[in-house]
Amino acid sequence: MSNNYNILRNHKQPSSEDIAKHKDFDALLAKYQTTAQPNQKRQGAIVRRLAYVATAIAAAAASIVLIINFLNPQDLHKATQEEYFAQLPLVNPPIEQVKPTFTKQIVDVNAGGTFKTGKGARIVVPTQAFMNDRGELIEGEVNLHYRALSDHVDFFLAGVPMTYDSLGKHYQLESAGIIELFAEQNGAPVQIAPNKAIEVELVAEIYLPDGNEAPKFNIYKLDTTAREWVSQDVKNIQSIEDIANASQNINNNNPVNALRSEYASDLAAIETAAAERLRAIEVSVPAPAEPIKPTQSNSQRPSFELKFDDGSVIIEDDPNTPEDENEFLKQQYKGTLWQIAANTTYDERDFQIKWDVFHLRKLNNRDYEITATKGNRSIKWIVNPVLTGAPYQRALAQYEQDYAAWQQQMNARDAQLKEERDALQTDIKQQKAALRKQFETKLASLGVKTDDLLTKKRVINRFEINNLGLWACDRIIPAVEQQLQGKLEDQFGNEYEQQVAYLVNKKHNTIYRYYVSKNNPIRFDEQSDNLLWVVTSDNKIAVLKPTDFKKVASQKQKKTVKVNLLDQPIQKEEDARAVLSWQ
Amino acid sequence: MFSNLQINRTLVKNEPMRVFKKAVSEEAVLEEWAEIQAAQRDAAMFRPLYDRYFESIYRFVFRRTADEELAGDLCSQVFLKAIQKLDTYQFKGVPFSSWLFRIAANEVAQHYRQTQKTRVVSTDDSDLSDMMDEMEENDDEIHLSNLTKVLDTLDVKDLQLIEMRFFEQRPFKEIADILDMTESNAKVKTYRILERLKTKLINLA
Repeated sequence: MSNNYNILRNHKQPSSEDIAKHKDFDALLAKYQTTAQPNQKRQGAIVRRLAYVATAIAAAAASIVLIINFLNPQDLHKATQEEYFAQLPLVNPPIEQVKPTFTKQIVDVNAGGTFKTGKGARIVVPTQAFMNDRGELIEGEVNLHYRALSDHVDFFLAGVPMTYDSLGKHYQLESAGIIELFAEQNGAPVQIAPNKAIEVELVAEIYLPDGNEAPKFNIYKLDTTAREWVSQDVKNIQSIEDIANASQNINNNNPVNALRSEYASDLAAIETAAAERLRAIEVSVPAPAEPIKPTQSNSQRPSFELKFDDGSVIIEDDPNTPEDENEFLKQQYKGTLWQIAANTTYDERDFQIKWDVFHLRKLNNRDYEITATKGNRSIKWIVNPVLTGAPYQRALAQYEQDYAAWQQQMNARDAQLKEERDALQTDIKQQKAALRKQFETKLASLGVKTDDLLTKKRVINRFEINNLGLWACDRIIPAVEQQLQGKLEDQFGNEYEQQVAYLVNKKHNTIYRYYVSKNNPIRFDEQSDNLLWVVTSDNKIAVLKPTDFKKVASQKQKKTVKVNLLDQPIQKEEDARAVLSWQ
Repeated sequence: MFSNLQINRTLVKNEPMRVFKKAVSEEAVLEEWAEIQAAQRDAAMFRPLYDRYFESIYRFVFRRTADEELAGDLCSQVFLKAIQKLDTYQFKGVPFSSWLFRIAANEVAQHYRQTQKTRVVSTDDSDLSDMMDEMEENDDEIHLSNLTKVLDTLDVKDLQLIEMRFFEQRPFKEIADILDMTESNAKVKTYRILERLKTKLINLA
């Protein structure tokens, strides 16, 4: 018999101590970092960034050396911001026990649902929205975990990065809300099923200078492998609301307030007049009704016909119904199949019942509500009129003809109205510019710049996501340039070097992180209120409030920046909010 | 009144989805999943997983190589690949350890393919006796010796099943997870191999 295997009987096995000699996670990690491919940039980001400074071969060799040096605490002060943060976890909560918590929501996959977070965010989960990693739809209940982050305290406590790299340049992101979601069933993670999307509505409050156009936020997703936010080609619907009684006047100066009020009122008047003029332009040439595309019946959904000739079907709330109703119904709906709409639940047994009467109510161009009644019992279904076979083909051909004709009519209408619309836009722009100039002049006479006047606004963004993770509604903002001179030091003489400092300014809903060292100055926006802080190893915060910040920033050639170390450690979110408020 | 509803289509019901059995408690799985997610974000966070599984992976490799240094090297390779592939890891209802054992099995196989050396199989006499009991055969030395001879005739896939089941005492569920097959398939295959081995043993006697 040949020896295919070396079968060892009773071969001595190594002891746990023997095995432990081979264990070396740090070596493994270093090996991983040096071998990481460009798309494996978790810890490899250090290598990637250092490679900018030298030629490819030299950089590769130098990177390894620098990594080893960099991991040495004595050399930490040499690290740049990027190098320092690249070696930390990408999402790095500074106070582990005060991380923003996840809300757990049990979702019945057959029902979906709408869920709210404490931060005003909303999540709409459709039915049959989840699949396992083999692509199989999940049945039963899924645990959806989510947390929304909306302001600088949330961003700080969650430890989310707020920077964006593009073409080798580093930018800061301002946020109109961030949401993190994951889902699991019996501990096994699940994902969003193909062709399904979860609708997310994020709410955040931002400060805008008076009269400034609302900024447009875009959708980003955190790529945890590449360690960066990645802009997503996802449409978002954005709205901005005023927050009643929330206007903040930094100077709290009455003449200024009066001016602001007058400006806001004049601006609103221009916009109201513009909207009215636009409406008048639009109705001057009525728009033709868009033809409705026929829907083909879906064999996966039940469908049925309704008989209109025996008076058992009643159409409700249709002002277009002519007096000779039965005749109209026959013509309108003869041969139509009514298909139970997706997301509508039904009991098949109900299809066997001989219902006495049906009420049909049009909800929109596609959806109708049918209420079937028998005696005291009634049920409702949402249905769609559908066609099948040759009638569908005929209707589709007719629709295509009608649609082409409709487009032509719309183009002709647009051309006819364009001149008037453009003239209106130009006029409104000029009116606004004139008003703005007048406002700025009046403010200047009081010694105030418009940038100093911030109004709090609520930004709401709605978009759909097709996978779980960390999503943000952000926009890139300009870098802050002004350097803060001097060492950070608290009232007890403790210096804060080689550690992370956090800075926020009132103009932008973001958080700046700085690795404080000689080579890495803290930068800020001198035109804004700024709040600066560091976290000590025992979770206390040493803070520089806006008023003090302004004083410190105005001093030339200072040697120290005095921060105020608070007595109590941060133990809950409210503690952090109290310390990091603007007041 | 005649029924107004005329059903044209009937619902095509979805088959009930497969529900995975839990190999460990839900709590432990969730806890481990959190660790995996942290490691997916940051490789440095892989440490607790490494600490937890290093010894069992090392033993798995050592039983197939009988060489401490080689086992150490291959073990490092297993964990390196695990970190590198961690982003692609998705929980398939199996413990993370099974994913690691699968990588380890592949590494061992690759090692033997590259070196053209003879694959090592480690077993104890007590394991062989258990096998003989299962086949309702005597477990005296002659029979045990014959068993090693017939084991030598197995192809490597069949040998892996026997190795995991009888020499490492793994439950069928875990074997199935590691070899990416169903539990019942693992059972059926194992007992078919035992039947073949038994026939060969009888012929050998």
